[in-house]
Amino acid sequence: MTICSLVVYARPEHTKSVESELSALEGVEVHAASKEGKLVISVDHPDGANCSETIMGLHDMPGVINAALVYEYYE
Amino acid sequence: MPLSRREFIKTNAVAAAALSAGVTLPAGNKVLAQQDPGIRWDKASCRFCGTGCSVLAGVKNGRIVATQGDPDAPVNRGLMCIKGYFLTKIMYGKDRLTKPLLRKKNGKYDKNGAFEEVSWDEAFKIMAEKWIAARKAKGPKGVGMFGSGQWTVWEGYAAQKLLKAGFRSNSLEPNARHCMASAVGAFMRGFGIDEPMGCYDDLEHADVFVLWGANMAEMHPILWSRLTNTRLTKKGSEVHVLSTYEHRCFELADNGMVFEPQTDLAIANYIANYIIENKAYNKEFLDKHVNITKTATDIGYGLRASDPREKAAKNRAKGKLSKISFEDYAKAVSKYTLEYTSKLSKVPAEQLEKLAKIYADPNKKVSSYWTMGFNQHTRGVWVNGLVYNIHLLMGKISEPGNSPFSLTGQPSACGTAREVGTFTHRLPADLVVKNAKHRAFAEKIWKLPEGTIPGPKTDEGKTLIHAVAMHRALNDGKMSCFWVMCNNNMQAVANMNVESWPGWRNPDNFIAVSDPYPTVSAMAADLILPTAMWTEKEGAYGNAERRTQFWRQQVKAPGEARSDLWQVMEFAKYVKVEDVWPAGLIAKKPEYAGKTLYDVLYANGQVDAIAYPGKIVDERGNEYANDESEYFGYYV
Repeated sequence: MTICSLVVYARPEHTKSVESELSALEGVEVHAASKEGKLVISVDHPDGANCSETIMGLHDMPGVINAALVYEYYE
Repeated sequence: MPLSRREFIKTNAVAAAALSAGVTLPAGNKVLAQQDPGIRWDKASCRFCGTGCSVLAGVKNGRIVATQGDPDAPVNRGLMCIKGYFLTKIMYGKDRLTKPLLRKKNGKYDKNGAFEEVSWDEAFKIMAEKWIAARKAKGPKGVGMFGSGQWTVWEGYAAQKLLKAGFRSNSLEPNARHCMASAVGAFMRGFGIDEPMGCYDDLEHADVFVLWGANMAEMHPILWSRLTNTRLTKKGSEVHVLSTYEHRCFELADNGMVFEPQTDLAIANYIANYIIENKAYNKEFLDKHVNITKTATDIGYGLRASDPREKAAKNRAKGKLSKISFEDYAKAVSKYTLEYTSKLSKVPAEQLEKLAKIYADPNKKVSSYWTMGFNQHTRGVWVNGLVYNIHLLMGKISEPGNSPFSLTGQPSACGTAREVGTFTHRLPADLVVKNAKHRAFAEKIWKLPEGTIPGPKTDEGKTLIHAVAMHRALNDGKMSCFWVMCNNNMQAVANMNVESWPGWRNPDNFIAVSDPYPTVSAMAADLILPTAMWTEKEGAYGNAERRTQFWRQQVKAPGEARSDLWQVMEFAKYVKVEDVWPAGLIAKKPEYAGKTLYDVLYANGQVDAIAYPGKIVDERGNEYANDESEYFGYYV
């Protein structure tokens, strides 16, 4: 089981589009979004490799400037 | 409503992220995020890069199960990058090494044998036999150690004592020789002392950021977060990126420049020329603080002397600095006009000029960042120096926001390799082997007889041998024993086919590799020593901004794996002073006669002076082990 939480930094004008694209990803939930473009997400997927791919893929999402991992649990 | 375990963990995770982001969670999610009572949290410096983030490591049932960006950390303030994802996993691979492995045939060591499990005692016995013989037969260069900027501070220190004092050999080099050495060279030549004068706070103080061949978005993501934040929130902030190819940092760049390889040298000189021609330089600063020197060009490439490129070099390996006047310097850079530089570099003139303008503007605080684009450059020391020149011309140095900053890649290239000085030519604290006073100082501190550390004009003659030369020496039969710790040299080294591989497999040579996993280096060795990782031992790392961060041992290493520190100290028990030191040297400290290197270097009344109470207890009452202290019987 791998559960992670991240802060995603979107260009402020792209916050809404980034939020919907994130929500569409398997295992990803968006918990909060600020108007400055900061989004709080969790990634919960039984497949550990899928998790790391998902997190890496965040950087390439249009409108995303950066993604930072905050909490990571692995059992 | 009781939460499922999964929900409980997720709630904690999300709460932590919201805290780090400074974002309020909607009311529905504001469940009280309680600490999982089964997890013990303690802070540790991240295992991975030179940024030096602090993470909270969560231990449950003797395993690291969770990590969290440390919200109190000045460096990363609650955030981690993708590498943090792997901290909980790197220690638990299925093929983790747990016993020493020696190549054997018919029950005896054989370089062409298959690996067989042996005890630590057997491993160190054969290794000591080989090392003593090699040191005797081939002198100080007969043995060598290749360490790491991922060693903890005291692992580097113990290794330095073992080699320079114990084996009286300067054959100690870190893997940082293949990367940060250019930065070090430029620091020593420019400032007489190694390591940056700025700190990460410059990421918030600066107006303009210039990345010289550094891909911070992917390589130092947390620093990139801070830089990005400043760029997006500070009026007038700009980001300039120079690289030989477009990478992710270009997405944020106001001025992204792709230049022809090597022309960064010309671009830096063009900027200096622009500053001089526009009389933008800080004359007061220059008069008070700056000397200008020149050095020879056409110096070759550090290849073997027989290489035609070395034979063609007019000033092969020459590096002497000679003083010149400001006018001489101005004349030298005057040929780097905008037109010439643009043509040479293939960077459009308006972009180069935009870059020069912000350096030349006394009101713009500029922080320049570079890593391997500069340090693994063919002229790495020079290109580092040329950017220092720009900052020195403007006096944009050693003040908040104005910072030429060499980023380190490894977590402790600064803290261990450089500050401890685990280089062939160095001693701790920026002292150098070639200086007799420095050697005497080290000998006094280490309680050694005068003349122990070999240097020029001593009985051992020329003893310096850098990492590249070590592989050549192994290949040529000049070095017979080699110990690699905490790096994957066979995987990463340049010119492996021609020098390293034949060197390691030379039938006369005995190669020991300390590794947690069966890497290519381990597989290429004769003896594999299973090694403890990260928080399986107490440690400290010094990051790129020279911040040293400590951690307690969190979990035990698997099987018989031991830390690099334990290995170095324990190995020292297998060598007597008489095996390496000449009688005349021992006579200067007759109380050392009959003692092992372990007695003289470690159990010497100094290193072993602090008692170990059997466990480490933190301010919250949590208890931790310290396996090295437990084993040796004192706080190590």
